[in-house]
Amino acid sequence: MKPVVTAVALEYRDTFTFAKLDVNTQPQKTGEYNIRGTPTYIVFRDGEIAGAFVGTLPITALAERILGILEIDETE
Amino acid sequence: MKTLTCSLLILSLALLASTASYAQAETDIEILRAADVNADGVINVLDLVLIASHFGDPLVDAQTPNPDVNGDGSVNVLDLVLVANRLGETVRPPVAFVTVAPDIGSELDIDGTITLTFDNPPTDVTVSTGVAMTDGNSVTITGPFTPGDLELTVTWGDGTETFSYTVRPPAAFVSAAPENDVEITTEDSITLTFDNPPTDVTVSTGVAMTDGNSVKITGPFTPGALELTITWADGTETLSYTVIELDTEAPSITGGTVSDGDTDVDASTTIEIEFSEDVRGLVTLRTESDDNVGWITTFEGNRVMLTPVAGKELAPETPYVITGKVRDAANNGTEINITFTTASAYDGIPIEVTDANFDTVVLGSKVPIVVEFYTDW
Repeated sequence: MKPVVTAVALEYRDTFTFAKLDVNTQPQKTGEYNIRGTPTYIVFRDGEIAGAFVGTLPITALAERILGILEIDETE
Repeated sequence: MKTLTCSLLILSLALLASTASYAQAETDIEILRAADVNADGVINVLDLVLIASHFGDPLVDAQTPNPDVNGDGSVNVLDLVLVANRLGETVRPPVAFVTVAPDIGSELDIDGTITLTFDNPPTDVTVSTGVAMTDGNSVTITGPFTPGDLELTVTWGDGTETFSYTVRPPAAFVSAAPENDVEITTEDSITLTFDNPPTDVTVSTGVAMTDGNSVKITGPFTPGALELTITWADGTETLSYTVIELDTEAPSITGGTVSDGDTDVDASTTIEIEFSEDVRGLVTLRTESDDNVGWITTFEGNRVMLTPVAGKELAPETPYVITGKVRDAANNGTEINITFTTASAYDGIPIEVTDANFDTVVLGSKVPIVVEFYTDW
């Protein structure tokens, strides 16, 4: 799955930032955001949660999901 | 009987005097004036009659006319004889001073001229300083005079007068500012300095105002080559300038690597601001809280460069202000106030976040951020 994240992060680096948090070593935020499975993606905008989803996705689907949460139309 | 005696005496004396000399020596002018009892300028029988008519009269001090010609205290035949001996002679009237130019107390040049006017042509004129030339009723006294206070005593056959003046030292040109052969603007002024206060200053162009040892010449001057001739009482000087139009337009920003309101500014390279003309001044890069970041500012022609300094890098996604003031060669100033925000440091590689920096990196992000909660099995 990591190549997918890396590819999306690189492709959309001017649109959003990609970060990652290891649930095994960072229990505080894992618990705070009630993470039940991995990978879980939480999209933040202006410090607030804009949306979240769980599960692996191919590159295009992952990008579309994130853009959808951010309400960004790629065709614009 | 007195009248008859006098008449006969007068007649005798008049006949006696028919051979009298008409020469008039300056040495006996006082005697002549005394003999001209009626003060009509001629010694004649009328003076004899006047004396005769006062024979035996008591005398009064400063009596006019005074028949006591010889001043012995009585009017008698001796006075008649004295007058008779000068019959026919004319008496030069006393010469009195009338006016002087320039006015007493005024200022003279060292080579100045003082002109005295008398009511009659003076004789035997001498002066304590300078050279006196008599022409009719006038006496012209020329220098050179010594600079400073002048007490000029003029003596002539009938009197003496003293006049006070201040003799002005000659003024020599010392310097000009701006100096010769430079550019000036149409509205500039030129200040000349002399070693002494100059007088009678005139200029070929502009208006000259004298203040002590200085002369300020103001325009406006016509653009192009200017040959400025200054003439004063003691000399002349010509200065050359090139007159250019006055620049009243302040420099403006015409380009550069950052503009007010920019975001995503690359914080790692030199920031450049371009102006409409060459500038100088003081420009600094500051934080929003007005702390100087410490970058190096350099001016090169119409550009201002702000160069990063090791250890003073800009933080990503942070607002900064370029502030200060620049001036052009004519001193027209422009305030600079450019606020920009640095770009994110994010390069497309997912950022590893932790419990410790999560709030800062994720919740504090100014751009949307996606956090993948993952596990390495």
